[in-house]
Amino acid sequence: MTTVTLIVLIVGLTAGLYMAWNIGANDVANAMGTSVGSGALTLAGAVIIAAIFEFGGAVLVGSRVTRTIRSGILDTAVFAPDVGMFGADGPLLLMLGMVAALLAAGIWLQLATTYGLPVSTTHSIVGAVVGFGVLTAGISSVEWLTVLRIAASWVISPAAGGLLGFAMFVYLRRTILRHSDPAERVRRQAPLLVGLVVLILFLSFVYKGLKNVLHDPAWWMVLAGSALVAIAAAAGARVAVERTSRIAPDPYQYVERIFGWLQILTASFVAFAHGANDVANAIGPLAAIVHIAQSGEISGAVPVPFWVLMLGGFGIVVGLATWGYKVIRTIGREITEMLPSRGFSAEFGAASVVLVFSLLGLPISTTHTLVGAVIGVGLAHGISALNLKVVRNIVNSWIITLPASAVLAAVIFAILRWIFV
Amino acid sequence: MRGILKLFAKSPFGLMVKHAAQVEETVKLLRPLIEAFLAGDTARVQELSEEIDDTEHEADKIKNAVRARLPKSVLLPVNRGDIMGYVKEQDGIADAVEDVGVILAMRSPACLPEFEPNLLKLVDQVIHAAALLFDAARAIETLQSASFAGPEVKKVQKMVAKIHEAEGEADRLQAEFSKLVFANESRIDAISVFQWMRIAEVLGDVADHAENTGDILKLMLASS
Repeated sequence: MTTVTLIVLIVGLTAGLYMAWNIGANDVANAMGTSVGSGALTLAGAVIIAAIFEFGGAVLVGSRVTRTIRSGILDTAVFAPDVGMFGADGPLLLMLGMVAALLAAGIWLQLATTYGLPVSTTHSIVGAVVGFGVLTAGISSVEWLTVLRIAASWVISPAAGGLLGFAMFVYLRRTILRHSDPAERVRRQAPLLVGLVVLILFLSFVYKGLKNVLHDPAWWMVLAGSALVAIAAAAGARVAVERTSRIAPDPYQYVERIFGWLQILTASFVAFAHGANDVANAIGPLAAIVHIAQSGEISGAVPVPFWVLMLGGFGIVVGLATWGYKVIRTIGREITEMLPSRGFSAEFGAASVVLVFSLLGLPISTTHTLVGAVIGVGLAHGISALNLKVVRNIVNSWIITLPASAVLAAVIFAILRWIFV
Repeated sequence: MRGILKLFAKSPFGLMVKHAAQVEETVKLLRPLIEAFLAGDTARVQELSEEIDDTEHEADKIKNAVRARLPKSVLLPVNRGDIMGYVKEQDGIADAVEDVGVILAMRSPACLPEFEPNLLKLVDQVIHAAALLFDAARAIETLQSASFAGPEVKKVQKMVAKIHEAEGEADRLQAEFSKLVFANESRIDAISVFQWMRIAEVLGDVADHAENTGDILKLMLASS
């Protein structure tokens, strides 16, 4: 490793951590805010649960999306040493490009936060990587098919989140709220819901997480294992629900108290899914930098080093502990119009969608998916008043973020190139 | 993440209940007003009429606040027009009570002792109709947590049916009182007869508006 490579590696690690810190600071509140608001979780409890599940999601399921951002968006062969269009400088230029992408996304994010724009961390980093690719190696160096798939997923994911949130709330309405004895019904439904959430969590966890350990476990093993865990969780939930006292002047108060607890589960689910999907925004470019620094080669097929994922998870947890808790507190205070049963439905919809897209290796925006899911619950008559102007803000944020982060990445790259090459 | 926070608009439902409570404050002053009039205490009638004006004005403010929460970009679980219609009709109750105060404060109509029992019966009946509506209005927040479904809906529908009955009875008492006034038309001056007709009419309006408000509430539940 040359001195220049070492310096770029260190700068890259710092930029990656900065980006991960940003993700933890800004996005984590989505998962935990409503639970703190409804009083089901204390602020400290929310921070601890978020830390555990964000880290778990990042480390256990995060590598797929990481791979897409690292080597799926750009045709990295262009940067191959000697044979590529940049000759011997290729690998160094790619490293610098990735550093530029991280810095551009981080700066854009911080700017957006200052001016209160609803900007997605995912969109920032994808825009930055594409911008660097187009402006250095030309339009043909970008894998437009992958970019198109990613862009399509940005439209599909909020819609899918909305559909699932809608379906879950309609289900709760039919089985619990509309029933003549909602308190009795929630006692029967709660274990089923716990089982369902745990089943999905474990399926994704076993499918992806244990693949590294077991090397393609048989599908029936995966299914049976997850089902067993889910049944155990449901049984536990049943015992817990039986112990609660049903005495409440209004049966809906009792229903919402139970959902307050269930919502902690979906909030953890969101944190897990968020960690899985969004860690890649920081770690994708960083993994590319680390790989080039270690091998001096450009290749797409090597797995993402475990310690890099750990670093990303660590960065997110630090962001959450140093800044994110403030955002959670604010959101928790201000979201009072959302009842726990609605929060449960929205979070269930959003987390399931984010997790599926993570397993497909597609980087999507957790925030936008959650917004879609909340609107889905609203369309099912679950929420007293929703401001649909946010949808316009989201579309605007796409239109602004992609070119802004792309141009920013190109400018930063030009500066880095002038310094290092 | 700010996207999530901006997503939640202010709910109109709490304010609808608050508006009901404010209108109830106005209705509570109706019986003291009539009693003060029957006791011949014109100063007290004046005072109560002004107090009714003030409470009605407060109700107006809440009504406008509800409307301010209903821009087209807000997605609601019930029809926006129904909410507008609901507060408008509910506000009509307070307006009618205000009218009674205005008529009595402007000029004291000549009153015969035999008017008294019938008048009080009519007043109590319209207050009863309004009280039934306020009971139903208090359920709005529970309805919201039940997402406008389930046993709570049936309960409110039954309440609305009761308001209909109460309004029918108020109609009957209003006609009875009017007849009584006409039967004694030669014993009091014509302007007083005219005044009593107006009073009977606006008292009837209290129950009418309560009924209409209940109907819109029912409609809101049916369309949700």
